[in-house]
Amino acid sequence: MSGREAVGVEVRGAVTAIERAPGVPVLAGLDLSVRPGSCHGIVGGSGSGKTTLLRVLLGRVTIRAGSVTIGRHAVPPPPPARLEFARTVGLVPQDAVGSLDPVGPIWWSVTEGLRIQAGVSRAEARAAATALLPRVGLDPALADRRGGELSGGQAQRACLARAIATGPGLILADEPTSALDPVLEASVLDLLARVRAETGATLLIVAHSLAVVRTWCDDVTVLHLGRAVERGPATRVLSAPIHEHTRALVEASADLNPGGGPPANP
Amino acid sequence: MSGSSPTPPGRTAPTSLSIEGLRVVWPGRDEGADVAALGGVSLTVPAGGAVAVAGESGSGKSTLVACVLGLLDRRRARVEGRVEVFGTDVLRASDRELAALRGRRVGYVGQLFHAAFDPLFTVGSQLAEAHRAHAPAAATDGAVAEALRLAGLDAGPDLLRLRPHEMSGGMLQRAQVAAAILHRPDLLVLDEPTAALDALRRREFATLVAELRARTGAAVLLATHDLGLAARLADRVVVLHRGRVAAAGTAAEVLGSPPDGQARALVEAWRRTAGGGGEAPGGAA
Repeated sequence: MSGREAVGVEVRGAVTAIERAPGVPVLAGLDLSVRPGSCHGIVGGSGSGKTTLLRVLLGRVTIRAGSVTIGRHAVPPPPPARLEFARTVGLVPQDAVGSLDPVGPIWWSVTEGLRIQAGVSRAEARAAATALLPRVGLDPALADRRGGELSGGQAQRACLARAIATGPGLILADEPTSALDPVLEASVLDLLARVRAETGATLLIVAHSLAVVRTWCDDVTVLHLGRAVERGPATRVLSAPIHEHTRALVEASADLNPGGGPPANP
Repeated sequence: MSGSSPTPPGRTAPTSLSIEGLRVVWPGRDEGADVAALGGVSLTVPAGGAVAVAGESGSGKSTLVACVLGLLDRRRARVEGRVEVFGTDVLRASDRELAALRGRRVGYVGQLFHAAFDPLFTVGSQLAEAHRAHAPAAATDGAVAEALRLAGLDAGPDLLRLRPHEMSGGMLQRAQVAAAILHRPDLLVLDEPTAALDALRRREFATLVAELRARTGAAVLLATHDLGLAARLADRVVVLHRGRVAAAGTAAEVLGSPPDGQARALVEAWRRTAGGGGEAPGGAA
C-alpha cells in the first residue's frame, strides 16, 4: 500500500456537545498538538476524556466550540471529503476481538476500509489481505479463518493490518494493549513502532500505562476532566511532572511497579 | 454422595487452599487435539497468606480460579488432582457443599465489575440479596453497611439507591469487594481485579485489599498478569506457562531474579510495559 504523507493533529479549545454532568461538557476546552510523523501518547484517569477525544478526531462526536484539524482536513470533514478523510485516518480499537466479524473471514474484516473507502474489488482485497498479514506478524494462512477463532494478540494484529490497509497518514490506537498480558503487550507495541517506521505515519496512542508512553512515545499529553493539563516530551513529563494530576498518576504508577524489587508486605 | 471431609469446627485449618497435581484437559474436536489447560499444578495458600498466580493469556490462570470456585464444567473437561478449600474437596463436592463455601467462606472479585451487577436493580438491593443467601434477613442492613464501609464506600442511603450505571468504575469495583466480604470470608479470590482500572484506581484497590487482609485476616488468591499488583499484595508468586509452573517463590525472588525461560520473559516484558524495576520516576522514592 502506498503510504500517505504523515499528518499532524491540531485541536483548539474543543468543547463537546455531550456532557459528563448537566452543564459540564466531556471535553471542556481541550488543546492538542501532534507533530506529523511523531508518536504521541495520551494519558489520564478513567473519565478524563481520552476515548471521547479519539471519537472527536474521527468526527463521530461533534464539538460545539473550538476547532479540530487533521492534516488539511477540518473535522468533521464535509461530505465530499469524507472518503479521503477516512483513508487518511486508521483506527486500532481497544476491543480488538469485538471489532472483527466473528463469523466472517479475517481477510474480509481486514480489507473493510479498502473495499468501502478505496473501492477495491473482492479479488484485489483478498490479495491485499495476503500481503498485509505478514506485515503485522500474522501467517497469511489465517486469512480464511473466522474472526472469532483468533486469540487476543492475533486479533489486535489483524486490527492493525486493517488500520494500515489504506495507507493512512495518522493511526489512532485506543488503549491497544490494555487487554493483553505483558509479553503480548510488548510485542504489539514493538510492532506498532515498526509499522510506524515503515509507513512514516503519525501514531497517536491512548495508553493506560505511563511506562508504555515513556518507552514508545516521543511526546505526551495528559488529560484531566476534559482538559489537557500537561504536555511535552514523554521522558520529561513522566520523569519531572509539573501538574499535580500528572504527579499523582506518576506516583500511583511507580508505587505499584517498584524499581529494584517489591516493597515489604503490609 | 460426598467425597469431602470438612474441617471439624474448633480446629483451625492450617491451609486455606491446597492444590495438588491439578490437571485439566479440554477434549479437542479431533482425536489428538486435546488441550491441557493445566498440566499438573500444585500450590498452597496458608491461612491468612496471599499467593499470586501470574502468567500470560492462556497460561491457565482462569481455569485454576474456576477449579477453586468449583465452577469448572466437569461434563466437558477431564480433571485430575485435588483442590481443597478449607478441607472441602471442591472438585468432588456437592452443590450444597459448594454453596456453603462460595459467598460465605470464599469471596470472589472479578475483572468485569460492570457485569458483576444486574443493571436493572439497585446496588444496595443486590448486596442485600447476597447477604440473605447465607444469613438471616434481620442482620442484612447492618452487614451491608459494614461491608460497604470496609470496602471504602460511604454507605449513605443515596448510595444504596444507585443502579450500576450510575456508579463510576472505581465505585463499582469497591461495591464488588463489598459483596465479596459480606460474610467475612476466610479466602478472597481475585481474578484480574485491576485490568479495567486506571493507575490511581489500581493503587486504591491494592491499598484496599492490603487493609482488608490486615483487618480480617483473610487469605488471598490473586490471578493476574499485573506483576506490580502481585508484588504489592502477595507473599508468594507462582508463574504459570501453558498450564505448568514456570517459577515459584517469594515476590522478591520471582520478580527480582526470575529463572531463565518463560518466567524471565514475562518479568522482562513487564519491566518494559509497566516500568517495574526501571528507573524510579521523579518524586517517587
